[in-house]
Amino acid sequence: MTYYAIVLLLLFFMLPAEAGHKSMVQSQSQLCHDPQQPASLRCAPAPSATFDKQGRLWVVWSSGGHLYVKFSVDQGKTFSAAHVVNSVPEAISAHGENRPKIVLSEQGKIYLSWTTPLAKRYTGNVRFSYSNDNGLTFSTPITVNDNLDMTGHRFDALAVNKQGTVFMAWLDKRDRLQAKRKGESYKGAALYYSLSTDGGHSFAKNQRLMSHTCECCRVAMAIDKDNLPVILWRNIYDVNTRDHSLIKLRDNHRASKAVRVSFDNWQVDACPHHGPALSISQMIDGASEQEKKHSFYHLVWFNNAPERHGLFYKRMSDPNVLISDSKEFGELENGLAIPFGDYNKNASHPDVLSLDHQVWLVWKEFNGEADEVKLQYSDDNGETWQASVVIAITKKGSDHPFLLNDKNMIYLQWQTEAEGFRILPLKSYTQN
Amino acid sequence: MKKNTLVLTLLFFSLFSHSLSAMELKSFAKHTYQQLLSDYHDQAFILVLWSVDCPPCYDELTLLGKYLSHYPDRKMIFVATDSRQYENEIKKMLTTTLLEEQSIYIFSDVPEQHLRYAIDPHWYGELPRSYLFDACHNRKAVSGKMTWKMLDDFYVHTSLKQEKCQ
Repeated sequence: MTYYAIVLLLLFFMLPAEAGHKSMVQSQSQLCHDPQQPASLRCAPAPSATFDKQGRLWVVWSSGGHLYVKFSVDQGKTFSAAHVVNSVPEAISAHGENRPKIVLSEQGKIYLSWTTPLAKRYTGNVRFSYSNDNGLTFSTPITVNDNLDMTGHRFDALAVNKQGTVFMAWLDKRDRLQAKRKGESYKGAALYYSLSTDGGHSFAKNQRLMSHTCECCRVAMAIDKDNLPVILWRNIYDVNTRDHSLIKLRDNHRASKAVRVSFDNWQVDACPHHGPALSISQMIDGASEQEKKHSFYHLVWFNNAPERHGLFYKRMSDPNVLISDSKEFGELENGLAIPFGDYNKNASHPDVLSLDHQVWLVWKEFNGEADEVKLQYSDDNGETWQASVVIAITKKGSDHPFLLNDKNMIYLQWQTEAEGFRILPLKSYTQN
Repeated sequence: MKKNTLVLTLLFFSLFSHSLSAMELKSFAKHTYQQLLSDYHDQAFILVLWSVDCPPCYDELTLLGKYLSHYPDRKMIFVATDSRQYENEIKKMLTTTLLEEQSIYIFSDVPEQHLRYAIDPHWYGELPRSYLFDACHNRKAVSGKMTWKMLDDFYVHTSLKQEKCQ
């Protein structure tokens, strides 16, 4: 089958989840601007989604000051009725880098987080709610940041481990505000962290993990095989070098030393609005004994330095664990970052998902006429990669692409202005 | 005294709100970039792209407002990359930074990435972003905040030279 035939086929199959034909798409697009219409996932600017253990696809989005949650048992073709999370409306950040999040525990509890902007520019609080009854009802939202100054507590990241411990990290400007009150300057924001061991009823005292982070890029967080979180974010090094940093928690309350993971040297006093992504894999099938001892961190990011610009992929292990025979893992373990995507087509906003030896990368490009999502796949833990392929196209605006895992079946999630919320299985693109 | 203060406050807010509503935000569409190059043919100018959701942009606008107060004849064009729903916020920021009299645009309904691409395929949305055009329209891109010296260097040493364009 030719490339173009594949693309046409995809355009046919990637029908919007809430609309079936073109005329309906057009009319629904108009409805999105009507405040009298009920909240529609199709109109949501920045939804998030995840699969639960039963294979149900859960989605959260915001509209009119409320968060809504619903699920699908048929990979997004049809959905349950939507449930309102917050009965009292509040402002909710919902854009590319800062959107409502949803995760589910092994025990089936639903956890949500989001940022509510406050009255002053660049300020906000990190908010949280949970459901213990399959999304029928949600707890009254609480504020996770224990500093309530009118300053930035934004760009929240959310994860839950197998024991049901909920972890949160976000970009926080309380230290910057303190510095300002003393007449001192402060670069960027700080990375703060908290966790809940009681199912989201309460969160621990906030802890600063890093000072001087970039202040408007999403934070990535994933759970390692020891059930502790790993966090990746854009940091500020030296005067204004915007490279990435990674930190691993040693236990629930103590962090290892943060390590710099990108060395592109993008020196810029600006908001990149372009955060990284992280996935952690464990070797199971056909792995060597050495491989089984470790988990592998798969990192993707964007930088725009004169010498090194575009999208980058890097694989690494826990930097705090000494790997005596790292050669067994190949050159990637030596810290080389691999460029991917077409810099001339605005390759941007990558996501990564790893499963055993398999790694998927997706990102957005613009071909001058339409937005494309491209996929690149590796079946040997990121050592070698298949050629990239266009897997979805839209003519109008689009959200960032995301990868989802449903019991080892991998899907693309992509919200587009013309087609709405879309889910695409990736299996057919990754078979040898 | 209290009464006078109240009257002055009301007068200030009245003038401020009038100024906000009178400010025109022109729509920046796909063709606008080329149109600006044509409109300012033979003229040096700086195209300044910014957003209300960008903390360094506020510092940048404050500096540029002061700079243009000193050198009102130096041309700058301001483009907010936000959608129309932030129109009031945009106007407030431009007013408080003394830029309300400048040429002001706002991104149209076309997807942001498409408009960015029409200006420069290698601009990835970092803000503030500025393009310095000399009189021959040689273009220099700057990501991040500019400085007074950078502006002086551009206008004095680059653009004001009456060199023949190649």
